Amino acid sequence: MIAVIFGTVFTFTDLSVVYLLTKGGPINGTHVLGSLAFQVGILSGDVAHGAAICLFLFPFLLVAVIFLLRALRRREI
Amino acid sequence: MTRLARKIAGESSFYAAVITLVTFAAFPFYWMLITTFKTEGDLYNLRSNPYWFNAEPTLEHLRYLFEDTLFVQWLWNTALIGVCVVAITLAVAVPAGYSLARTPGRSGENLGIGIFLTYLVPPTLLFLPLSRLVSDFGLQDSLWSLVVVYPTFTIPFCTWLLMGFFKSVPREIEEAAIVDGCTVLGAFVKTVLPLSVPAILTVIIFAFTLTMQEFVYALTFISSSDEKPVTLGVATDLIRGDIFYWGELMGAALIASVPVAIAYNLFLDRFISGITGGAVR
Repeated sequence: MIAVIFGTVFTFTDLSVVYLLTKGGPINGTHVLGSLAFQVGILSGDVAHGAAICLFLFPFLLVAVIFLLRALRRREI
Repeated sequence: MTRLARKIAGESSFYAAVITLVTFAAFPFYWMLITTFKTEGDLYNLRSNPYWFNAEPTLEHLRYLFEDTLFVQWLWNTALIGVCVVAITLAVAVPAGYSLARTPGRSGENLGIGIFLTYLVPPTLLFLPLSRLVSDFGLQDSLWSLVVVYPTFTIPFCTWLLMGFFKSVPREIEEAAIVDGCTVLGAFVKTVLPLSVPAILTVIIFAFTLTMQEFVYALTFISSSDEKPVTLGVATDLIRGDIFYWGELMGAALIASVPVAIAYNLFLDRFISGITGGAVR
């Protein structure tokens, strides 16, 4: 269970693989949120815009973390 | 007779599974190895057998890697960053893990979980704000920025790991040492630390590999070639536009990954006991 959550979170937020393989690829068609944020925020220098894109990840991560906490609690009891 | 047949079937399916797994794990290394020594013509000829040499093996890729790129410098940078990060991590995580493990009641537990949650906040969320910070400190384009930033994910993880381990060390040992005249700190250094060598080794290897495989921060903070760690240098300087320097890429990946793989194998037993010790509490 914990491994599943971990896998989800780290796959969800992984941008290095996308960046290395396609760089967001033909006409930005293969971006994930992370790599898009990198492109906009760092390469184009628009940090605020990039941060906004990143913030979109947050709700998803929050849900994952809540599940993780519950799983941990249950195992302690 | 049927029992014998069943036993043979069971054993052979077991070994078949093992062989499949081993092939699965070892194949990338094999691929790296032969690509490193293949000539360009052999690599790009679609008709030749990709699993073996069709032309004479060559050392040209390795020569290029060591003489015409900054590969040695990158390895050096990685080692330097790794050693610094491991030192910082140990200096923080060992006392933190110990005190969390000895905090009475549920508060220590909850604090531990809280620390672990910070590890779950991924670099993908953090690299933008951190890039602002790094440039405010004037560290952009310097490998010291990575030395400062990498502990943000090694420390939580290692603290958690060590906390789990320290909990499994019986408190009576320290109490005995205190009765014999040690201070609390002395008891920790003289009795608990020697017992936790496996955990500390685990932490060192973990911190080092986490540092080695990190890519996002390095990509964000560093752009001049001679400050890059090996992952970034290989990925950015050996891929130029659409041209992949496959031989050099594979050689570099092989050289960088083999020492870590060997270290893992040397410490495998202790490593596993370290991890499960943390998991079971």
